[in-house]
Amino acid sequence: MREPLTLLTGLGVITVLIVFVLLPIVAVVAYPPFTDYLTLPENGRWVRAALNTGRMVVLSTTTATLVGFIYAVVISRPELRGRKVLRLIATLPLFSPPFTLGFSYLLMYGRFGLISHDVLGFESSILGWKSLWAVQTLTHFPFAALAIERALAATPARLEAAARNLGASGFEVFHTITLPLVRPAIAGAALLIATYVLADFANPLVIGGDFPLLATEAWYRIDGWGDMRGATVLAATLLPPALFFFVAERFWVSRRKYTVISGRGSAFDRLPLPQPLMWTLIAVCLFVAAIILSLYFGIVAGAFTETWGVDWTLTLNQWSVVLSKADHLRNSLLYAATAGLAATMLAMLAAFLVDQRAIPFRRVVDFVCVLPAAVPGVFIGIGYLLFFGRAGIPFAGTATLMVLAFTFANLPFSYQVVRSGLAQIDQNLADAAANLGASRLRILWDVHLRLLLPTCVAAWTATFISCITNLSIAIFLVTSGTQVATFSILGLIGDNRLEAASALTTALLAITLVVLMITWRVSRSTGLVSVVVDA
Amino acid sequence: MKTRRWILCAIATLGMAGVLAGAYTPANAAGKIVIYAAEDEKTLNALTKMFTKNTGIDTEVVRIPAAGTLVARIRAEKDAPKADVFIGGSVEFHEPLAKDGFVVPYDSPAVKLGNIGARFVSPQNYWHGWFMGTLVIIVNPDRFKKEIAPKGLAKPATWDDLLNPAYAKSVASGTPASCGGAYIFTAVQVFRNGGEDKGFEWLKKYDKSVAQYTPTCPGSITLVARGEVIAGITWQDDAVEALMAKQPIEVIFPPETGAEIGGASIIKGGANPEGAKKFVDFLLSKEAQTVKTELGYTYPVRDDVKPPRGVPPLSMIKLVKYDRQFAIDNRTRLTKKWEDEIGSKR
Amino acid sequence: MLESYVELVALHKRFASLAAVSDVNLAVPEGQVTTLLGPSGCGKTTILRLIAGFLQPDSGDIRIKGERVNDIPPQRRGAVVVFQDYALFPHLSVFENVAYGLRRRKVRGPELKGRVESMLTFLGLADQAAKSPLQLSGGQQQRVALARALVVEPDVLLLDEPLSNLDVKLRVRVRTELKEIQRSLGKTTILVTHDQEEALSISDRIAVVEAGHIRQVGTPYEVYARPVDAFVADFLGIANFLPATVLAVTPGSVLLDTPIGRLLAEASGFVAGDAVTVLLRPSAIRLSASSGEAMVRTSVRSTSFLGGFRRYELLLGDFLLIADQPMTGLDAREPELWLSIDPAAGLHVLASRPR
Repeated sequence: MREPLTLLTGLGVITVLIVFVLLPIVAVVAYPPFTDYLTLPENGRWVRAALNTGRMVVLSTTTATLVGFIYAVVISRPELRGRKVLRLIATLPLFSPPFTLGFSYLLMYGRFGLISHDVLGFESSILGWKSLWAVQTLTHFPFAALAIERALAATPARLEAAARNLGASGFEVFHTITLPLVRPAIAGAALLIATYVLADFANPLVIGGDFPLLATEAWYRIDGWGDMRGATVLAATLLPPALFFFVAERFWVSRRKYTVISGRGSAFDRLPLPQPLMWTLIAVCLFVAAIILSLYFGIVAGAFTETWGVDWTLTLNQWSVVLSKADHLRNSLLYAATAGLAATMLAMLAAFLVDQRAIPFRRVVDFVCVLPAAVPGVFIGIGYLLFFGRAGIPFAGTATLMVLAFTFANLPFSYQVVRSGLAQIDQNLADAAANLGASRLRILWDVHLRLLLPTCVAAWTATFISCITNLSIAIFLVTSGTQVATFSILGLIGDNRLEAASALTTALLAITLVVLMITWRVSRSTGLVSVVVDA
Repeated sequence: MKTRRWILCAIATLGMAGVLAGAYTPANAAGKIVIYAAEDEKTLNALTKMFTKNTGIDTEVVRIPAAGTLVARIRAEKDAPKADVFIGGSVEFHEPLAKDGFVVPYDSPAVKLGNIGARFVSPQNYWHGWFMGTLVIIVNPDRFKKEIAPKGLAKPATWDDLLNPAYAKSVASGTPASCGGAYIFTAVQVFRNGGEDKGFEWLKKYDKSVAQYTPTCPGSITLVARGEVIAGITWQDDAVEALMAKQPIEVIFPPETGAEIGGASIIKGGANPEGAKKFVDFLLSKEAQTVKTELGYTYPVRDDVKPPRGVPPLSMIKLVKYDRQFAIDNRTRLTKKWEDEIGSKR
Repeated sequence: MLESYVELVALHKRFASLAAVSDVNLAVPEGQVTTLLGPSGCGKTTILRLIAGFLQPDSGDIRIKGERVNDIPPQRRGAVVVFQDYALFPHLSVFENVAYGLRRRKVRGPELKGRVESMLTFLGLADQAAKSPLQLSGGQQQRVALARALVVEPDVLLLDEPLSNLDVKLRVRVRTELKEIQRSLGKTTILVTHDQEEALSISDRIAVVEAGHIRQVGTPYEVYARPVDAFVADFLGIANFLPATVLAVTPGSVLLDTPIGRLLAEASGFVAGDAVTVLLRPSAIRLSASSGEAMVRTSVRSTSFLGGFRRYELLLGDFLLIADQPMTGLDAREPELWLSIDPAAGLHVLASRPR
């Protein structure tokens, strides 16, 4: 089909992807002289950072996946009344700024912690790797919980019934049937969590203490000494493991997911678990849920407290800080909304062209669109700073740069949502339109856009939330006029103004929640959770 | 009709994009300078307002608390500098920029007018120091009273007091790997104890008292204020500011301390070098020095400006003999040595 | 042969407000195929799950070989299910699917291999052992499910709509195979289906289930030709229900007055004047173009060609009758035909009028 406009659009998309995804990555890797990479093993602190990062990834991924698994087993039991509430609690961390739990952990379980100090009477420091481990587990287990829950739900109860019927005991059913069937989901969730923990930046800053990690150390190289070379070396070190997790998930695990033979079989109730085991699992879940709730309570309580740990007077004083930072909140909202819009539109275009096989290098484009999911935020932040700062581009150092970074960092979310949305649209519709003489772009407009509106809303929301809660990219790209809320919250925590930080976090959470609720109504059909978990 | 709604949607989207694009593009008027500042917001606002009133030159400020980030940005913008002048951050940040050709020298007449000491100006006039702050000890009074006072010890008055085993694992200070102040502290111990070996010997003893090396200098204030540790080491301006903000800390000015000199330099290739020069002159004026001293809690570089509230006069501060050039030249080596011998041994 | 190899005694099971199974009594003879036949939602699958142990009855007993098994968990009941959609384990090969139950019974090594392989060979699956069940056709999957169940040598084989996922042609073939396999192994089998043709062709005994009750138990012929009520009659095939009145009674037979004239039928237990219903299968009606021995003249509303025979919809006044006729002899365009009853087909008299 000869369609010059479609082809031109395709080439445009490819150009945009090269400039905004590939070149910034290259810019980071190519920035330091090659010899800098070779001297990395001689720098004791950096070796320590690398080892610490490895340790944190292994520990947090293991526990987060384990807790997520237990949580998933419990919330997938249909007979449990409160499972929806439990699931809701688990989704909270998915929609919160990355440091929320770390920060609140400090409030609730730190030296002046409400629970640790005032309730339990402990007086000990919590800063360090153990707390970081706990917080990373709490922050990331929801990914595993929700992904594994979906896998469990997709595992027909009749397979378990069949195994039981063939003589398997409860444990044997679990061991030989249930576990193997959800194993790909577990592995996928673990790899996803590993990617996040590897790149996470915010929680270590808040409660890591002096526990150097690659991501934070890259930031401190710039923050402390303006050492771009060191920062790029450290950031580049993050890339190979991140890419490994990404490729492993995409090309190995996701291909091993079993499509269960489905037929017209009638529904089976799941066989009950032994009571003691069930109660143990429920106890674990309730414990985790209680901690998460306590952490969110801590944030909100902090927003209305005079001086945390000293003067528990109820006050609205902290909200004057929120008012004075209102423009930061406004910036957050504006940038996230714009990035959401841009990412959704670009994703729409790219996904459509790939889906319709109307773009050259289709498979490469497909890969590049999801590639940013593997690239740590720190890396994208530095990449944009370097590539667009140096090239003398007019929007360098402005909000536009941050919005662009947000857009392309979140492209994979939108892209995958839109692609799966497109896959559900009957090709006959497009064919019918083509048959009646519509060009491909015309088809996009007439057929797909209309049918995909709910999907677009979901994609926009996912990007919006990811951007408004982002710190790792923003921290490298903010300027005085373009400060965002997450950055000011980190500053307030650093200045020990914990109550003001709580108030600003509460405000940010409230905004996120309101936007979420509005879009939830618009696109109920497209599960937002699955957007976050899948991308 | 549905079609019309879609078209309206599209127009609204494009319109929104246009408005946003407009909102994001900085206006680049003439008679204006762009300042990269690692400075406190309040001080900076007062200074720029005053500068515009005095000279009629508008300012556009990119303020980031961490000087390193600005240095990184200046380096990243090598081919198309955005800023005219870079202020704030110790001269340890300015000197490497000078060495790599990012800043231009300037001989400000204000140096002579204000009788500003030679130590406050780069030997080749690359940077001008416009304030000074010293390293101080901070103490959490509650924990001190509960845990140290009963042992018959007075508040720590010297660096050596912190070596007392009573402070084992209860002091916080920055890590030289990422914190400029902590590097100056390291250098201070080298100069004070008479050489690198003795300095590191002292630092290793001090290491036993340290609970945590924080990645940033103000980080230790947070830890002391929260009572995570009993004592800490940080900059006077951050400490006094925290004190004024009613954080529960006490500030002690030990003898043989080190100081940072806050720098101002003119960026090579900036759009308005003349304006930048005027701004440097302004920073060194009595008027600007008074504002900076009062709001920023640092020492002025002019003799005719009084020291800030809550801080002893500079004459009472005994500074160590600090070889700034040596410290700057050996930074990478000493930082690595510290990491190898102390940091990574923890 | 045990007459009650599997026995259900006064079985009750409620789901919330719905009585899924109420007062079910059934004796399943050894070595035979007993079919639970009924429309969807009638409770037949619930009965199967009660036997398998997936569900617990609210009251009543389940006995296998005379032993009460209510409290025995499903994995030790010796009643193995072939599921409607086979429930093959997608992560295991065909061999491992079949070996699954043996492994759970601690069968290991050469014995395991031998038993699995001979079962696969018996069912013609020897070449498929290493494949994933996802690679097999529907019929093959069905046989794997059967192999998986048979290899553990269960006391009872439970088949839950085993043919419903196969296309029509395959269904007939597999039905025959299934019957042959069952015959050759002599395995006591309980089959659940909603397909009367399947039930009739495969079963030794049929229990017709409706709304949680067993309406009738009998041989296929009995339930087809001598249904106890209109529901059973209707469910087992197309039926014409003629309203009739008993005119006279002789020992073993009754004389009936029906819309198609007077009929003599074998029946007992009625008295003259009773209002009854006569069950007339479409194949029991004979049509001819000329009056001959025929009883009554009907008008043809429509005809349809169904391959081996032609189906007529006839109007007798405003009373609709369905009749199936062989392809020979009649002109399909004939507007009116003469109707008579095949004396060999027999008539069945039901106590009440159809609802």
